[in-house]
Amino acid sequence: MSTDTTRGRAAKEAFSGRTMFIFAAIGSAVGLGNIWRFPYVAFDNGGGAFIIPYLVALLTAGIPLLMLDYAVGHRYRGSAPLSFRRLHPKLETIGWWQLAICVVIAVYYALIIGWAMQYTVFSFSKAWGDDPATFFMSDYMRVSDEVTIGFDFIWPVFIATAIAWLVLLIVLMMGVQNGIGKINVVLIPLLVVMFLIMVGMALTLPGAAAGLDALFTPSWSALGDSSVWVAAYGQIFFSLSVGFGIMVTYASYLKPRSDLSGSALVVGFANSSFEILAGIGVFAALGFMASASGTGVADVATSGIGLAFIAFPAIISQAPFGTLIGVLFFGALAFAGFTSLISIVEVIVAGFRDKLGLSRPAAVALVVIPLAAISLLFFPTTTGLNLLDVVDAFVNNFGIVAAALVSVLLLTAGFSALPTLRDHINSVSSFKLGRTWMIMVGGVTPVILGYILIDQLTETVSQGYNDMPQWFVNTFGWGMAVALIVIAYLLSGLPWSRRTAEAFTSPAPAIQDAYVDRGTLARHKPLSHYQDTATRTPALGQDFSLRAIEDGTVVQRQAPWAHAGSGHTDPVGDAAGRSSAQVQSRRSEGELS
Amino acid sequence: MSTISVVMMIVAMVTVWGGLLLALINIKRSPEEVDELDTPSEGSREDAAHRAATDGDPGSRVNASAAPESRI
Repeated sequence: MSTDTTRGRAAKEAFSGRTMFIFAAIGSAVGLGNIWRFPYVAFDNGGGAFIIPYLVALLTAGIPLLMLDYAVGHRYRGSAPLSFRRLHPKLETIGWWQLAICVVIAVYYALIIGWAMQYTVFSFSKAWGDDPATFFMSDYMRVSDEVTIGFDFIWPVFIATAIAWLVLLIVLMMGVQNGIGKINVVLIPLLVVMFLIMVGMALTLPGAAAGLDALFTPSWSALGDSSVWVAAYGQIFFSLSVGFGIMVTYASYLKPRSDLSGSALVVGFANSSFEILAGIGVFAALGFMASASGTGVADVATSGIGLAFIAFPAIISQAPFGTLIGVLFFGALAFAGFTSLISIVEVIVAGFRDKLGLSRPAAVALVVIPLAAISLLFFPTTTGLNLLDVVDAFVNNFGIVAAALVSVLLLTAGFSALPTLRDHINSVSSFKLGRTWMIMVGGVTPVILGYILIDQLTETVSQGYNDMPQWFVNTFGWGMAVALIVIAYLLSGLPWSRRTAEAFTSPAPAIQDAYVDRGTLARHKPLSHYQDTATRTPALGQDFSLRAIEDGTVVQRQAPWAHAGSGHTDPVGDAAGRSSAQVQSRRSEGELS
Repeated sequence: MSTISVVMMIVAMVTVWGGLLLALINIKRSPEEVDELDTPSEGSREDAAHRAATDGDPGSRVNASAAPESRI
C-alpha cells in the first residue's frame, strides 16, 4: 500500500505527524536572528518596555502570517510555486520570487554556519587571543580593504562551509520524514538543553545582574516612538521565517487533517520563548564582559556578527569555564543555523521537484550542488564578508519584505483568498479563526510591511548602504533584488512537468473560494456570505484525508463557472450542489478567464 | 537588579513562556486524527511516474475517480 500513487500527480512526501512538523517548523523559525538579533533589538528599543510592542506584533502579525503560510501550503499541498499556482495561475510568480529569495539566503547562510562550527573548535584553544576583533577581521577572514569580488580563498573557512553543505546534502537526500523531520527532532531539544546550560552558566558570572538590568529596565517613553513599534514588527517578521515559502513548503508535508492554527500558536510562542531565553543569556554574558572591562553594558552591547564572533570570544576568554560556554554557544549557533538552512534549501528543492517532476535525490542534487558551488565560490574569500553584508541587507529588506507585502496584498485584495484560507484552517483546526484574523493579515500586516519597506527604501536611496561603493551596492544589492523578481517571472512562464500539471486543482475540499467570490463580485452581488463561516462553507464537512485525495473525491468537483451562463448565481447553492453528477475538472482554483 | 527590571523580566517570561504553555495545552486537547492511509512511504515515485505515463489523458482521470479502484 502506498499513498504516493496518486493518479497522475507528483508524489507527495509527508511528516509522520504533527509533532515532527512542529519540531521542523520551530527548527526553521529558531535561527541566528533569535540568538544574535533579538537581544540587541530589545535592548535598543525600550528594554523591558519592548515586551509590549513585541507581544502585540507577535499576536497581530507574526502568528496570523504564520497561519496564512500554513493555510496556503496545507490547502494547496505543494511547494511555494505550485501552491500559489494552484491558488491562481497568475500567482505562480510569487512562489518563484520566494524561492529565489531562499536561493540568495542559502548561499551566504552556510558560510555563517561554517564560522560557528570553526569557532566551536576555536573555543578549546581560544585561538582569537587577546583581540578577537582583529583576529576575526584580519587573521581569520583576512577581510580585503577593497570592496569588490575576489577569489582569494580562505581555505579553513572554505572547508568548514563545504562540510555544512555536505551534511545538508545528506539530510535532504534522506527525505522529509527521515532526514528533515528526524534531524529536527534531535537537534531542537539538544539546542534548547545546550542553551539552557549556557544561560545557567552566564547567570552565575559576576556582572550578570547588571546585564539583565540593562536589558529589562523599561524605557516607557519608547512606546510612543513609532520606530520602536516598527522594530518590534520587524523582529517578529524576520524571526518567524514567514513570507518566503518555508512555512508553505513545510505545511504541504502535513497530513490533511492537521491542527494548523494550534500548531502555529505553538511555533510562534516557541520561537519567542527561545528569543527571551537568548536575551537573558546574551545580556548576562555582556554584563560580565562590561564588569570585567570596567565599562557600561551599553558600551559592549552589540548584535550580529560583532556579538557572536567578537564579543562572545572575549567573554569566553575571560569567564571561568569559558571553553564550555564557547562550545555551548557556538554549537547552539551552528545547530540553530543549520535547522534553518535545511528549511531554506528545502523550499528550493520542493519547487524544482514539482516543476520538473523529479525524484527527491535528483532534485536535491540539482539544487544543492550548484548552490554549494556558488556559495563556496563567492563567500569563503577575503571579499566574502562585504558581499554577505550587502546581500543580506538587501534580500531581507527588499526581498522578503517586498515579497511578503505583495503576496499579502494579492491574497487579500487581488484574489480575495483570505476567506477561503480561513475556512480551510477552521475546517481542520482546534483554534477557530474569525474576522479578526482576516483584519490582521489583510489590514495590519500590509500597513506595517509597507511602512518598513518605504522606510528602508528612502533611507537606503538617500544615504547609500554602509559607505560601500555604489557599483557594488547597485549590482549585489539593488540589482540582485530586482533580478529575483525578473527571474521569478521568467520561471513562472516555463512549462510544468506533465505529472504536476495534471494536478493543478487543489486537492483540498471545495470551499466557497476566492474564485467564486470574484465571480460574485463580477455579477455585482453583495458578499453577504462572508459573515458566517457555517453558512458559506457547507463543503467543510467533506472528507479531507489522504484517502480522499488519492481517490480524487475532493478534487473533481463542479466548476463554479458552469453556472455563469445559466443565471444561477447563488454561491451557497453552488457549494452545496458541488458533489452532484455534473462533475467537471478545472486546472486551478483561480482559473476564471 | 532594580525592582522594575526584575518585574519586567518576570512579565516577559510569564507572558511568552506562559503563552507557549497555553498553546501546548490547547494542541494537546485536540488529539491527532488517524487516517488509515496516513503512512506515506517514500521512494514510490517511480510507481507514480509509471501511472502518469500510462494514463496521461486527463479525461480518463474523471472516470477513474468516479469508480476508484481499490489500492489497499
